[in-house]
Amino acid sequence: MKRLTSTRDILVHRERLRKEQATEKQTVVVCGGTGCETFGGSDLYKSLNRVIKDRGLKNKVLLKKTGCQGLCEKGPLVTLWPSNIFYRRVKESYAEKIIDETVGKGDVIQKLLYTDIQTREKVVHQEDVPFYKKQHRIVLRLNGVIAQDSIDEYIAAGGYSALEKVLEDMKPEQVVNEITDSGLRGRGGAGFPTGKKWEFVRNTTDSIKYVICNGDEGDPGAFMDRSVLEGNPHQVLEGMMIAAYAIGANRGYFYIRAEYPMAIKYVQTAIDQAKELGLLGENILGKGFGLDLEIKKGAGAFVCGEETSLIASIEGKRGMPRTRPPYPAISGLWGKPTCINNVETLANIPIIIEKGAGYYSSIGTKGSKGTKVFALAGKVRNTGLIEVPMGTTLREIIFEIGGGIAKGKKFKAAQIGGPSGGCVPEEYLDTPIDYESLKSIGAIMGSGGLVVMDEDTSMVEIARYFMGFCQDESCGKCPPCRIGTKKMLEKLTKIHDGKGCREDIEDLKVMANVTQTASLCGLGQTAPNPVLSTIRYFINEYEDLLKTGS
Amino acid sequence: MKKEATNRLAVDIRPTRKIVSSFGDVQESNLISILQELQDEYGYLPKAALKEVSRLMDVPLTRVFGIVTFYSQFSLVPKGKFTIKVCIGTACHVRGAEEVKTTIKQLLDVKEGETSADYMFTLESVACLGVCALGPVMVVGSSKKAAGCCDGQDGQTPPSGDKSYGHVKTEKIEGILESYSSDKE
Repeated sequence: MKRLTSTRDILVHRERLRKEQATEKQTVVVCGGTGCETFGGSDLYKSLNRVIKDRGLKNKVLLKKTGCQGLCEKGPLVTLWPSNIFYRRVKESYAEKIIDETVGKGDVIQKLLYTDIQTREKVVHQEDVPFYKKQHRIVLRLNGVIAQDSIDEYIAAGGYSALEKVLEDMKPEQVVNEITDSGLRGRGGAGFPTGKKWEFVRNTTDSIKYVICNGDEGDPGAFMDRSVLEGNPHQVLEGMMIAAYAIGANRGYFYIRAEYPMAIKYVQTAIDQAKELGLLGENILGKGFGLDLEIKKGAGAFVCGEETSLIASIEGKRGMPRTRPPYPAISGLWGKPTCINNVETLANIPIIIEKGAGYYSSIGTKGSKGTKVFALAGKVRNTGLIEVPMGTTLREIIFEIGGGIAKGKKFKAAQIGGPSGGCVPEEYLDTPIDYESLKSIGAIMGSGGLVVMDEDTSMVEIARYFMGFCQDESCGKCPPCRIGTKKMLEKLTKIHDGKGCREDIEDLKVMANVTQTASLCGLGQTAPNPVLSTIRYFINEYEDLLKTGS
Repeated sequence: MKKEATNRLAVDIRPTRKIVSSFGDVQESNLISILQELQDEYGYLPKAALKEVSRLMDVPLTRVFGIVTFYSQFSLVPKGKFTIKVCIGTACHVRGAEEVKTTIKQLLDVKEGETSADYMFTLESVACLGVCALGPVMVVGSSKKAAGCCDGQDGQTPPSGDKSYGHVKTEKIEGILESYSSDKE
């Protein structure tokens, strides 16, 4: 592979790739997301490959595997191009039928079509499936379109044109301003304005600075970052390159959980490919800007999602947080100014640069711009990965995209924001999703885990479950979190076991407030949220347990 | 620990030296990565290997030990041939992960974190594997080289690869475990 040494080179390269990839061939796309793989996606892929070979169709039919297409519940998913016929729950045994009937004769296999839950009608094309209709895919725009390990397909789809644009036309300050103007806020949980963060790092005078991608997606019930890293790693890489250019960093790290081996693998492949092409390393595209990226694997500690813990972990230490300020933007990795952004945040960057801050800020609400990716899970019909504009209501997500509650049960609560978030009851389902309104109802945006609970779920049990998780993951450095989570867990267990009294609920509220106020980092500060929100909205369930016992 | 593994067998220290030297200049920031590779190599972190790491890197053993006990990925005792990871993330939790865990505990007669008497399986729970859509989920994989897994574009699964099971039903678990037991040498 020839190295690209100028911005012109990449334009020429993209045109060549587009010509090469322009195909008259019929294409069979198999979803390679973790969900579909678990349902037998890779066996299906192998069988399709074999049938195509056996029928001598290698020159006429293209088979490819992409990242997560979203509708995990109905996996494995297969889409055919150019007809855009969409099949779900495709068993390996259908490989021959798909090639012979659909690819060969253009016949639609009725049995593999998605059935609309409302109308009971079969849906032939992916875009007509209600699950996809309400979505607005920016971050996930290429998930399910390009092969997950192909830099060529990413470039042909317009990838790295944002990098080319900033290197060619924009000063670092202009990049920072563009991001500030777009209104993008951190997608990892707290929602800090990304442009502001970059500006802080940009304004420091150190010659060494670092950029870090936080891929330590530890929230139980969240898999957005995983799907982005596995499905389209180059988009995150490009976002990181632009961040590094804007803040003046020459070195960066991907911090990815060890529980995500596939994400690690695809990101490593992406880094290697970018290096080979000259998009990483020294003097990128001949513009004098250099960047090296490296992966650091997490080792199984939820607290490492907190930025100062994450930094400690990269430094090879126990992942324990420290007091802020100084913020990492001033003194981070090895004491140097460090910009830490979440995976989804970085994946938004190339689109903002490409289409402009105006375009991006036209999507969403007043205070929360753009889209948000959610991992929709729990007791909902269509579980999976979705992306909606900010301002979409929970009701739209759960009942229109998610298809409502599974098995005809009644909705009880939506848990949003993981162990740091809260449980939202029915009366707040019409709240538009943005950072502020979620906070006002006792939940948080968090990283985007959305777990639906039905009438069978005990809310006290859920509160106890999250507290158990936080207590287990508390690093033990500061007493409010270490002792607070332990004591709250004891109280919750007592109530849950039917041994509680009214004072226990009052005690819980006091402990929750102390833990919230006095803890060192986000883990302890937000750990009481599930307790407080369940007490706020489901106090009757606590009271029932007091009276009758469990 | 059930049938507490004894360190009767001498640990071959050579892979430890090889792994440490493969990281080039001794840098403490590589400590976690080195320990991860050691765990892949041995399936756990033998005491002798940790001592050697401490000596080679000139890092106090207490600090090495501190890291090993901090991160849940590391184990100081040998694991079974396969590790079963039951996801207890929220989505799996509301869909019955607890029942899955209880069933496995009964079938293998182990507690969480323990290894079955025949050293075939170690039971662990993890908070979220990120396959929430398919909960409850469990993953079974070789305890050694556990990280080197999964499918590429060519659809090849290396034998050591982890296999995930989605929508796990408790009555199906025995059958799943049986399919591994036939792997016994």
